[in-house]
Amino acid sequence: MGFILALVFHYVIPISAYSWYMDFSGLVFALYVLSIPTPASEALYRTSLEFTNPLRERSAGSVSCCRARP
Amino acid sequence: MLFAVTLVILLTYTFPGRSFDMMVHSVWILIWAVVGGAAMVVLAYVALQNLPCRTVSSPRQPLWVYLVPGLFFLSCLSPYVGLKTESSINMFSNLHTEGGQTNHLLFPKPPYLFNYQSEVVKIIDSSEPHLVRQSRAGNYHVLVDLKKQLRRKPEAWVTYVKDGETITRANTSTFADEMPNLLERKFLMFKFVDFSRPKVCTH
Repeated sequence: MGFILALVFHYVIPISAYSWYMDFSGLVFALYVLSIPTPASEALYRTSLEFTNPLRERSAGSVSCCRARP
Repeated sequence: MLFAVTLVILLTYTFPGRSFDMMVHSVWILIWAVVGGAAMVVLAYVALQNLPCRTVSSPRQPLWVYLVPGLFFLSCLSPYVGLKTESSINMFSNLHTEGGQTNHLLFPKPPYLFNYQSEVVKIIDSSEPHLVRQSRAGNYHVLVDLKKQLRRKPEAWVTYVKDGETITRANTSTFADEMPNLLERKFLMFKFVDFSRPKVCTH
């Protein structure tokens, strides 16, 4: 619960015209990624791949399609 | 990013009068809203998937790793001991440690080990409009920071009051023997000094 509250807090504070906290919040998120337990880290890696792999395949497909043109 | 830039440009045309800095800031806020939001959702999702949390003790870290939190601790301690006040852990706080005064709950005077924050000046006039603007907004400046700015711009001058004494048109040559050295220039950054009470929370 504390972790999720911290995530929401550090997500919200940069959304302000009066301050520049996205660098700090980005650093905090990176530290969270580095310090979560190994099973959660593996789940994060799997989830990220599920999202990025289709994008990568689509991008590779469009490149090969363009290269195939005369 | 292209979408964010386009959206901000469109909004700027619709609502003119915003500064360029605010446009850049708005683009980054939009990017953060998407990228940071995605990171937040994914991290929360994997954390919930991992419940109940089983903590596995990590192998012993080499000693040098502890240098990083040690340096971080020193950096955060710097406002109290008289070093930098910017880029320390007083974000979101209204902590005041400059000019030998403090509003800290636990001690009546800052426990300086260094005197950089002791010399605070009020700018009266300057060749640099931003310095005059900052002063008119009610801010004071730490003298070391002023010296750094003058060093960067040798043709600039500034008239200021320090301890009741007015120094007229001070420039690089005025501080020729007292300019901050390389380490001081790189590591000592100071916020504006605000003596008003209650003090506003600023970064």
